[in-house]
Amino acid sequence: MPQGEAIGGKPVKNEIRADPESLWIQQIAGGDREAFEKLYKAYAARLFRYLFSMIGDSGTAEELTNDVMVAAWKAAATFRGEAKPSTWLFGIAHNKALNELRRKHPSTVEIEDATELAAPGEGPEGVIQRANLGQRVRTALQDLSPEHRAVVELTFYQGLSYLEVAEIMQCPLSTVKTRMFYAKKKLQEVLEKKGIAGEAP
Amino acid sequence: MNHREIIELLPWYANETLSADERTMVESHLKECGECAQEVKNLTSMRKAVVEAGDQGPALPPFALNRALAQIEDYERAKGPAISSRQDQPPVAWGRYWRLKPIFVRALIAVQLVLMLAFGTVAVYQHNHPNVIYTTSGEPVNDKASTTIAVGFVPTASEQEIRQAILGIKGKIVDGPSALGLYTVQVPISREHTTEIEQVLETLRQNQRVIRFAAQK
Repeated sequence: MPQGEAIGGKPVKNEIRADPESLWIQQIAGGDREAFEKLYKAYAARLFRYLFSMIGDSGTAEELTNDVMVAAWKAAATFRGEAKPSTWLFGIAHNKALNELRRKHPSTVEIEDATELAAPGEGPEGVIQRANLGQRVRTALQDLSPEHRAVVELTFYQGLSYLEVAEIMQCPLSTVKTRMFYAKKKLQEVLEKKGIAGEAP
Repeated sequence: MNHREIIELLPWYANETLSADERTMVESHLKECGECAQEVKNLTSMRKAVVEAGDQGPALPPFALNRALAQIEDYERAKGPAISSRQDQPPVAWGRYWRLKPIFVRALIAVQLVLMLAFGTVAVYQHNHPNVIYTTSGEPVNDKASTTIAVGFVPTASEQEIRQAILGIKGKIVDGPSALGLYTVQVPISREHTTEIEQVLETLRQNQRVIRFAAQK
């Protein structure tokens, strides 16, 4: 979607930002490696987490994280500040994740039997059970389509607004809401099947 | 806002990113709608599970930054010092253009100018003294049996590291530092043996902990 175009009826403001991240990107455009390190330290871990959730392989996620940051280095001069730096970087990451998924055959992830899930307990066993729980949720997420998984990850893990999600995924707001509707329904089913959902917040 | 519009917003109510107006509307609706109130509980639970799962997943290795920096150096080297203009930038005055360039690009341009001047000087000198070059150390160097290399050292490199790097190529420092901090290193390889010279240069360049620049003079 061209920058400045309305997303879901709301126009994107063409204003230059004055936040530290935008300043770092301007400095990167001038070849400033210290600014690059600052941007890297601020965003690489989050980008890695997003790419890992999309790809499901930590080695590839690490490579793609660096690809995103190097792409940011190369394209820093074209960053005009219409988007937030986080949206800009996640947009690059999203495209790289989809390209990688298209390039490779989608990996099939076996859904583990819910009856294997033990109740959380104290001590080392409890830690192991919590780790298992995390693994099961990650497996459940891998069971979603990439587009549905992206909406869930960007909203629930990265804590982004629906406007930011729409900008990152380059789609209208209505599409984001529809994808979320189906994603949460599917995830809820999988989590219930695994005995994870229904827990009090 | 009707029930359907409200329920579509609930994931972002749960992650607390709605605007103040939207949040007020949702909270007003939640007081009257049991279905949406239950949906908020489910979404909050789902969000918690996703966050916990993410936090328990693998983390980015700490040395990943070094790899990214190396990728950038490779990219900048591949671009070369002459290719320095970035897209969408308006023409700028020379002074601003110079300041906008990365420091190592500026250094490379400066080194090129110095080398061009040096080659010019040597060419004129050799017109009268074809086989011998005198260095500032006063020791004449046989031009045919050896090659001189311009070398720049990393500022943090220790004396021992520099010594090892030079001895590793059987070289000796015969001049320098120049105004740019470059030293002239003589290696016992004839200028005609270009493959061996290139190997020496590659050995130096790979030692990035100690060597920041190496080129045949």
